[in-house]
Amino acid sequence: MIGGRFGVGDRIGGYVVSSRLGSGRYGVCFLAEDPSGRQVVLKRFRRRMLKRNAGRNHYEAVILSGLSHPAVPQLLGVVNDRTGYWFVLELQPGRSLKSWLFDRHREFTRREIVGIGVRLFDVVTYLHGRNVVHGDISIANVLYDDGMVSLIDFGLARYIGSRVGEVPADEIGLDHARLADVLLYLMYSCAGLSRGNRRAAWYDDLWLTASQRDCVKRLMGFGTPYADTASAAEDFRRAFADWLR
Amino acid sequence: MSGFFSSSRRRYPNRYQGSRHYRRKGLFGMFGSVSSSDRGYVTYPQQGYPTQQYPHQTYPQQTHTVGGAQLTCAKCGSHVPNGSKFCLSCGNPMGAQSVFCPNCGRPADPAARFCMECGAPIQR
Repeated sequence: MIGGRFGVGDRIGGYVVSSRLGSGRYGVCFLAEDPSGRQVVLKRFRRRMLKRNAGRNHYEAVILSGLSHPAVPQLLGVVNDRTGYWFVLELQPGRSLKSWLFDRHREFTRREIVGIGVRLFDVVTYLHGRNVVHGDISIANVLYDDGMVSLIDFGLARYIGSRVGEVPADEIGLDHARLADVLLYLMYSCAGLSRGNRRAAWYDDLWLTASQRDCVKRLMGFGTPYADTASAAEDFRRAFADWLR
Repeated sequence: MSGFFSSSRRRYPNRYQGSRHYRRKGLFGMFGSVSSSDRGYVTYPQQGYPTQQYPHQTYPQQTHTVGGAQLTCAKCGSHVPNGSKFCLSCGNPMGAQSVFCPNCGRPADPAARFCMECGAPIQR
């Protein structure tokens, strides 16, 4: 550790830091290895964020403890020592869609977009079925690796309910809208999908069929919201089926 | 961005965006810097049990817990919210005390036979 910053080779609770992955509002993430050589993610919380969010910081730990899905990272441990307060998380494969789009300038095909959409709906359907709203779906929090999709950063995830700290059931609309926003980012990367009208809203700019446009509009909050995520997923599959051909 | 947007309403995306928004990196590059002044020590006030291993480590007191109940860590004596696989103070695995309702997915009291939320039997 140099100047208060962690670096390669630093030991955190039995884990050895390999590299820095990135940072966010919560703090910073590192890639590390456990004693057996397995790669893990160490998420260090900023002391200021822990104090500011006192009473809310445990949601991520509890919620991740109760989830089991290949697209969701497992909580592997908690470290609280002189180096700081850390979560140990399962490493999910791939890079973020944000990195693919804006660092690698990747253009996603229609088939890939539908594939990502289907897998995102699969994991979000699972979450909502466990009464969990992710709350922060974005291209920065969706990882993509050769067809595989993962959803990370459950820092804003909450249970659905009426107790303090829980969110109302219609909050699934937040996940729907943000999932649609991710799809729109992907669509705008796809050559030929945009009419090129820079002043137009997406629904007037993208080459979509009426059912496709209606599906994404509904996800975004126009008109009648989907009653549940399974219905939204089914409507998405139906509307975008021809993109798989 | 939870510290910046206090209401979830503000986290809904703008529905009227077009290419100018979706073809730009947007605000992602503006947030997330880590302060070098962060020293790392965090505190979790103990409920009557001194921290044996980390006398200076405390975790900010929880004002409310997920599931409405707490367990006790066998290692450090800290209160641990129901369901957490690890003590949030010392990291001790909670093992079989981490229980979730198989029906609704919410954390459950490990001593309960039925889920307090949906009434489904807690399978063991």
